[in-house]
Amino acid sequence: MFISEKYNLLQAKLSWHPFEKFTFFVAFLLGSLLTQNVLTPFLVVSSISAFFLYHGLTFKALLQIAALPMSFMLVAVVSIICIISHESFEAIYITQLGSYHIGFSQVSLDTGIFIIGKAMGAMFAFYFLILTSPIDEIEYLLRKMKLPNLLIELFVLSFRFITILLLFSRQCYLSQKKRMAYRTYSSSIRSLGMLVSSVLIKSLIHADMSQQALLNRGYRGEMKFLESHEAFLLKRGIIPLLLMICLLAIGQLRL
Amino acid sequence: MPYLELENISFEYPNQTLALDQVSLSIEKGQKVAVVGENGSGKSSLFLCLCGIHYGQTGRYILDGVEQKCKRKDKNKLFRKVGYVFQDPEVQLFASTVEKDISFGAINAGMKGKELDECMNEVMEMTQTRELRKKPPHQLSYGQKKRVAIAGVLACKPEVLLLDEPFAWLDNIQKKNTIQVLDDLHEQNKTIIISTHDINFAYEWADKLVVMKGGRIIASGHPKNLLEDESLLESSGLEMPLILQLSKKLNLDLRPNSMAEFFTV
Repeated sequence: MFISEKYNLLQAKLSWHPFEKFTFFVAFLLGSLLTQNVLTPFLVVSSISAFFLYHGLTFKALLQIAALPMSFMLVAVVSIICIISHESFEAIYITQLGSYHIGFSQVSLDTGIFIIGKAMGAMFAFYFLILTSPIDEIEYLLRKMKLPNLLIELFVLSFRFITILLLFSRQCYLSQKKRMAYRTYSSSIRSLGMLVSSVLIKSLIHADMSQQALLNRGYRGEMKFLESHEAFLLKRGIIPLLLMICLLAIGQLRL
Repeated sequence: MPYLELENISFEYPNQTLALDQVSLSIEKGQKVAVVGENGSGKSSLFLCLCGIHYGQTGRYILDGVEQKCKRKDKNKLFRKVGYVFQDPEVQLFASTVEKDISFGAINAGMKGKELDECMNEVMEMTQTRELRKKPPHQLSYGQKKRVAIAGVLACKPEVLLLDEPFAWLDNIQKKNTIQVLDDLHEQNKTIIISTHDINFAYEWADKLVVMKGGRIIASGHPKNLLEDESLLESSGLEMPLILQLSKKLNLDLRPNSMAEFFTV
């Protein structure tokens, strides 16, 4: 299940126009990225977290969704915080391994925290958009942003067919597993190869039949759908604008 | 004049499998037709030819007095008249929500504004898919997907509806709902052609039965007449409907049209 569907209670509760949600997303994103201090991203992360918790997301779920990007960021930011040098330097902590001095200084620590803060702020801004907007609203936003139709259609089809691909794979895997295909290392490798090839063949056949189904409903190279959303309220659109100005202003403070 | 006519249609797949061999068929407007036969007898290939996805290498296909040819503008006109519901609804559902998927065919058929809204409401009411409108297709149960697939084709307002094994993998309740949809469409004078392995249903429901074997039509006519012919049943791998078996066993003179009628005899 996609993360946006696992926590779709927010989508059900927030019946705003997609543009209103998008303006909040832009405000949070720009506020996090165009900042000179770590306070603004911290405000973004905490306000979005408070919003999620208020609308029913559990603290455990919040930690789960934050864990994945956080783990990548921690791995990446270690290379920024950690200093390796032949010569000794002014540091909070330093150790020597052979001819190398390894440690971290106040400057490198501040830089690392600043980068983590910005990245987490941007990540939470994206989470705000994904968890409040169903996929058809995101598709609507992409159309309104005049993205090429081909890319949007690829996005729509990928979202739909990735679930089918996963279903095929799972069925094939279970069928193999029940016949002891993964009992030994060599049989596992062979079975995995057969799984990949069978899923590929099945996907190609499915794609061919899907194309026939599309043609039978008048597909001529362009996908047009019915669009139905809540009305756009200007006053709700002004709030994120003011929010963005405040975040940018706070972000310019040298703390 | 028949509404739909095939004259000596032969179709061969690129791997040289002869799917249809000199098939001739005529169907009147508003008829309920059941196509039966063993697996691999050519039922699905027949349907693919009827909806214009495949074109026979020989023969003619005439719909509403107009010969259908393998040209883009003919295909575009054909899709508005003939709708095809695939056996596997996963093949048909592709949009991000049910509402969008159903609207796809209607918009391609040229509907917009009020006409589109009315069409959507009518179709969703008929197939009981209104409450599913905002859901993505992969969150639906199999029966729900089938209903949405039918709704998506009905939204194109076809005159002829082809359903490939419409009751496959459906429970009894969903099957009854689907039969109700077919009956509602019949009342609107739509021509309905289904392929099915349920010989009992074909006997009770169809006005015309088409029996296929090896890519050929070996018999066509009223189910009552055909399904009493034991030699035909044996050669085509079919079973006699339960009603007829019971009637024969009980030496009844009457041949009831349905199980309900049988119980009153």
